[in-house]
Amino acid sequence: MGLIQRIIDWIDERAHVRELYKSLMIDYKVPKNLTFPYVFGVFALVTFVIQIVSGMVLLLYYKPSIADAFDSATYTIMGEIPFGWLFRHIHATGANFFMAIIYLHMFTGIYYNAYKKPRELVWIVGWLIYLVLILTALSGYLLPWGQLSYWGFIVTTEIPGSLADAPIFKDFFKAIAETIVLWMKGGYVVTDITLGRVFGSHVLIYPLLLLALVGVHLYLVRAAGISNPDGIEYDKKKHPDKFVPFHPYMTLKEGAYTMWYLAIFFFFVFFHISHFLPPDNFEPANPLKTPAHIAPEWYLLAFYEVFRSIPSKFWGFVAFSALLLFLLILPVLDWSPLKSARRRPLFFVAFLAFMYGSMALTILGSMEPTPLNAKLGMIFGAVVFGFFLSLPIISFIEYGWYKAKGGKEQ
Amino acid sequence: MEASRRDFISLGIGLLGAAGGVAALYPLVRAMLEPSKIAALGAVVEVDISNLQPMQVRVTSWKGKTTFVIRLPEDFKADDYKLKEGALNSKGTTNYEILKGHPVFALVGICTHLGCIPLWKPQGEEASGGKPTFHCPCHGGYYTPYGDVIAGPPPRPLFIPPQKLEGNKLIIGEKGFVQELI
Repeated sequence: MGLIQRIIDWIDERAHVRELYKSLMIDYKVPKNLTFPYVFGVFALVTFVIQIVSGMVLLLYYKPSIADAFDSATYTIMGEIPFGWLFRHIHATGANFFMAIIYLHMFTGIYYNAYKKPRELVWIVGWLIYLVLILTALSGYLLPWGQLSYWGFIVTTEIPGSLADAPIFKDFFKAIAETIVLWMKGGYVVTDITLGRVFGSHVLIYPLLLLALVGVHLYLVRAAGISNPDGIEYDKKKHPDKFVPFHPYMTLKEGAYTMWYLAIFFFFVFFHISHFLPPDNFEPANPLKTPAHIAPEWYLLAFYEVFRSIPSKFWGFVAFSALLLFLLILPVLDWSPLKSARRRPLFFVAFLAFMYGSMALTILGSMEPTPLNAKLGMIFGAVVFGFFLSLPIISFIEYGWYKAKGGKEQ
Repeated sequence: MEASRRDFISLGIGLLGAAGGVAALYPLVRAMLEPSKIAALGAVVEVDISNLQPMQVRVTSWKGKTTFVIRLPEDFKADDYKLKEGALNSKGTTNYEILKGHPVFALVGICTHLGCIPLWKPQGEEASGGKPTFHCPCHGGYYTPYGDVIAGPPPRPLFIPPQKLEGNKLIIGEKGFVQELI
């Protein structure tokens, strides 16, 4: 004990770690009434670490060339490297869990209105993280070079090509569409150079961006303070009874939940990996033959369904870009002074419609494109759009209530 | 009382966490440092000897090492080689004592002096008294067909890998009439 104490003292004299620890862990206060959904942020962070560590192992043995990619992923990593299969299972499961957790995290943020003043920047940086995460997922999906990998990539890179169907300025949009598609593919055909580019983005560029953005996101959360499920901003100095120290209260709670999360995570890693490493993808990519059933990964199905249920490809593309954009400008659309669905009955109803609407779109996206499904896709797409477009109206009504109560939050 | 219970919980969580950390580290370290299953792939080599003629040497690779598979005539005599004194294998004997009675066997074809690959001279050389020999061209080591040192700098005979004879197959790397690397 004496020796450890002395080592810590030695470091502390030079780096002031005790001060740092105290200010970051103990003096940092969080609302004591945080609910369960607030743990999704921690889950996302845990998953991010898991992805980086498992990705490092895969990176050691994966070969980014068309001739070697499939074999290095399927034979070398899965068969020859000790525990290589484990890290590929973890990485594939982690990718899906990451997206799932991020969606839950976003739903939580929307439900408790965590994008409102003073947390607009938290939301915007979070949106950027979501965007980079989608790019990371898409680029990683190509790397195993199976049939699904290849055709998934082809279909994805063709989607911006829908701009060419524009009703006006045809030549202009066509040029833009072709340029974007060329940029994404790196040429007219998918070559070694394309694969190398996608590989480099997946293993270095996007992860570095993510690290930086996640760092900023976490800083902003602490700078602005965690939102309160009650939707009331308490002053930490005036209401110390409403807050608890981050450690041990949050760390223990989140640690306990994280253990449950990891248990579920590894249940999938060991027993249900076929959800995340589908058998179809254990067939090498064949540019001359499309697999029978091809759909995007589940986390993009809602966007995909909006895209495909609209008869015009151009408007489909505009619609799903608009959805992404609406998410970004949520703090502007929802300008009501009231916060948290707990205190906003109109918003609560709209939120439920949004949540069930996007779930319905996801389910429809996984089904055959029958005319009925296309019609349902239009309806639920309209529901989701309705959510975003109803926010300014709800805000206007609530502003009236707010004024009637004398402009007070409570 | 309260404090000691908290200490117990902290210690318990700490130990459990450490155990979990070590358990997680184990596959990580093995995957990163020891892609050795690949190396193990070359650890057992099967050589078909049905077409191997007497006095013929076939070169193969066992654990990445050049390995000679040789067939000697049934009546081959090795007693009249003049051996270099004191050059004995790890059993403290000559290779001949271990391999006599086996017309087909494998030797690690790496000169025990400085690692060159000896040449097979079935017609013999002056230094070997005109009898068949392995000759290392680097520094003039001479070995009998059994790998025992006749002349030159090699300090010990050629290594004998573990090997087993199964019908027409010599399996190098499995325990048989030679149990271990000698």
